[in-house]
Amino acid sequence: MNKEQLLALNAIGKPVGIDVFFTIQQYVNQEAYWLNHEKLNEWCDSLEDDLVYWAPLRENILRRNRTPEISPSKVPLFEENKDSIIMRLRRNDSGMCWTEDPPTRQITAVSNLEIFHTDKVDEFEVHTVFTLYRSRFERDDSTLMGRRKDIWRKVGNDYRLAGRLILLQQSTLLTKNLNVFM
Amino acid sequence: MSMNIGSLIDHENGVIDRRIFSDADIYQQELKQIFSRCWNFVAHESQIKSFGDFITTYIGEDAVIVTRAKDNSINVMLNSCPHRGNKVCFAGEGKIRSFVCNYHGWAFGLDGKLNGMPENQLYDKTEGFNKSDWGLHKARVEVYKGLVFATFDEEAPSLGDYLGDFRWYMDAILDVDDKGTEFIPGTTRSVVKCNWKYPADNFVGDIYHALWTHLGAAESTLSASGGIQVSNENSYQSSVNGHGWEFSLANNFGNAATMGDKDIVKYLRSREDEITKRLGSVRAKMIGSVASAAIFPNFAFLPGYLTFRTFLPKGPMETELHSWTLVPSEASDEIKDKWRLGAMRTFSPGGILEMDDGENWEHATLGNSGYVTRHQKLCYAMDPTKGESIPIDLPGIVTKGQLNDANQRLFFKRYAEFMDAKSWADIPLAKKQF
Ligand code: FES
Ligand SMILES: [Fe+2]
Repeated sequence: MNKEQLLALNAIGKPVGIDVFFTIQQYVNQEAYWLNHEKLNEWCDSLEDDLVYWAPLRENILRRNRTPEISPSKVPLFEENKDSIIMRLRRNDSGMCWTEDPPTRQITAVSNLEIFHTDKVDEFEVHTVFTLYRSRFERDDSTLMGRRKDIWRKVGNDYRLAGRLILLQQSTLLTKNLNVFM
Repeated sequence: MSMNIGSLIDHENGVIDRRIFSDADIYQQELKQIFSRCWNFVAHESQIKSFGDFITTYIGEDAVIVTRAKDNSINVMLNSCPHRGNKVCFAGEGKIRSFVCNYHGWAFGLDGKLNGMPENQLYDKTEGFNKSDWGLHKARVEVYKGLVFATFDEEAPSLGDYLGDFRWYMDAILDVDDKGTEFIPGTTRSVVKCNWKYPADNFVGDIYHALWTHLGAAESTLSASGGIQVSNENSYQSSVNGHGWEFSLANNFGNAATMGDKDIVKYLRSREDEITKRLGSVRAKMIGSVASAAIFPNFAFLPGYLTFRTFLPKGPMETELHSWTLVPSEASDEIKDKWRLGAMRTFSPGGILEMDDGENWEHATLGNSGYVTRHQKLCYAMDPTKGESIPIDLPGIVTKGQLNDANQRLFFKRYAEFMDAKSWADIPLAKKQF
């Protein structure tokens, strides 16, 4: 999987039938459950080994400008593979993240699900939008919305996340951190 | 009425009045006395390489456009139309021939000059109107080794005098070879609900917090090598004109190693001999060691990670953080890419280290909403090496041991000097010796 492949996900394939749609939806919901309940090791185990997890920065660019807003060589917000996600989880598991104690409460609401066939029989293009709400301590509060363009791969009887492009909508993040996976 | 700030800051004993971190009048005084006077970092030359390139940013709360004009000059001007005041440019970066204001269509050149407007005969027939009187208000601009600074104060000294001998330290990152440095494309922006001075004083001299705040994050990449190692052996704090760098000379690549990428450490090691020849053995250790640095008032960077950032004030209790990753231009594309990822995974909103910081600064700020709380003092007293001599020749006011509040005390001393000065004539500048 690579970033160029993710940039090319433009919802032009043939929509999947109801059986595949329903099955993949269960995996998408399962993933949201793990992310919302701090079950990050379970989430990490479910990821494909060649995962590309990419959240580019957003920038305000005039329409007439010829250079694209999003490019693989720019500094991103996240650009992870499975190893770097494991590295990040070591922080969470250290027992020394003072800023996570008491824990943050979060909900990722996932909607606008669309699923398309790709030119590989075992890979599916999955589009969603999400609202990520976080509440911490007494009044710390953040709401972010974004769009996800994924590749989910059929492995045996499971569907596993192999690629994800996350397009947050804020060019200036109106929050102090992104202590979450989206 | 301006408040006397010197009376709120006892820099000798390290006792600081908390009101400077929340008071609305003091904040307004800062915009005038500090941000409109100082040399403020606005861009790296690599962001505006050729004719037509521009970026937009802020000096204090004043929106500015930074451009490269046809004559290759760099221009910094207010991003506010002199006609009715609308913002002139809404893009964060790009390439353009002229800026046309959305409101009535006045058009400005890359040098800020008013070039024309719709129905220009209306003005041709207006007695006494001169286009040359109504360009975008410009700042003075100077560049130090790739870093572009601007000031709105005609009386400000040269950038060289403003930075003084701090340039000797800056060269440890900016002048390690003939090719210079560049920013990797992409500006990361995020908002922290804190007073801008908390991140500024953190970077100017607070390595102490790393021993506790960042323990969990250090587990991620440093647990195999024994975690964060900071001590007052062979480490220093240096301060010049309020700018400061706290650094170790013991652990050459400590900061770089925290990114968890062996190839960056290998690259820095491969450059060490040549940098030693160029800058001497002390500065050859400074590009990647356990260290942090800040240029007064709100521009900071970290050796090793090479994250560069500004803490833009947005009211007494809000700061917008803009950050970039700087790399040596001579490094291979592969090494530059490793820095792009390494700095992002540690020092960006989702970075394992930066994630820990914002929370501390927000709640340090927020507490001052309480009347009784804000009338308490803060302790900047740590001074464990008082009177110990410095065994090497270093410019500026040098303190032994990086675990020390010395640079932060001097930062606030400088802060008070600016806040209480009537003009630049009242603001002392350290003599240049290096
Ligand atoms: S406000 Fe800019 S043209 Fe009128
Ligand atoms: Fe920190």
